[in-house]
Amino acid sequence: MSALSTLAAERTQLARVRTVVAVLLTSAIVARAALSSWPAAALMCLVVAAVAVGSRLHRAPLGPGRAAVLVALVVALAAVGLLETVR
Amino acid sequence: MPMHPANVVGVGRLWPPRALTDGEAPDARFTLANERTFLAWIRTSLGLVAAAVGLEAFAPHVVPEPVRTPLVVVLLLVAAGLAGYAFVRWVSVEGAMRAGRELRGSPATLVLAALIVLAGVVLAVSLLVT
Repeated sequence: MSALSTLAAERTQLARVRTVVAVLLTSAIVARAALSSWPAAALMCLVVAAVAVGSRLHRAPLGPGRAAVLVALVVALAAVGLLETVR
Repeated sequence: MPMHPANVVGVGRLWPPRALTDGEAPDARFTLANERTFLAWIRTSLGLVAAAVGLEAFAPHVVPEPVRTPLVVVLLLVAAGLAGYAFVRWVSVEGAMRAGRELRGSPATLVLAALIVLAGVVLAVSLLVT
């Protein structure tokens, strides 16, 4: 593997880790916001965080399955926020 | 003419997307760049979710509710839409690279920029008024 490919793979690996961290942080924010008024939503955020870590999104390669899981996690967090807002 | 199994509806057609299997595999660096772009869109969506939830939960007295609630709903809907768009875009770009087609620009960047400008203006005006 050339140096350029090695560096590209490293950048991608860091991007994967950043994304998992972003999922965890956003889950924490949404859970904290919903905790007092709707504890079930906080539980949902915990599930999202557990799936983000458990599905090993930070591991290569990112196939369509893992990509779809990532999209589903974001949609789930947005849905929790939406339900929390309109309740 | 015999039909290839992958061309039969329901047999290896929908999943994984054919764009990811047809054609020739591109240079690994291009595939990795495509993946990083997908991940950047996902992080952008997460940022919108965090901003919307933060606005609703932690700044209830800063922005009046008639302004805040629609803004939060729009931000969350766009965040969910962008996440779905990121997946479609990732598959589409990968397919274009495998088929040797030219890459198209992304219209979502314009939508995202317009939304952020709109949200900024709405927040600034509501802050000044209150």
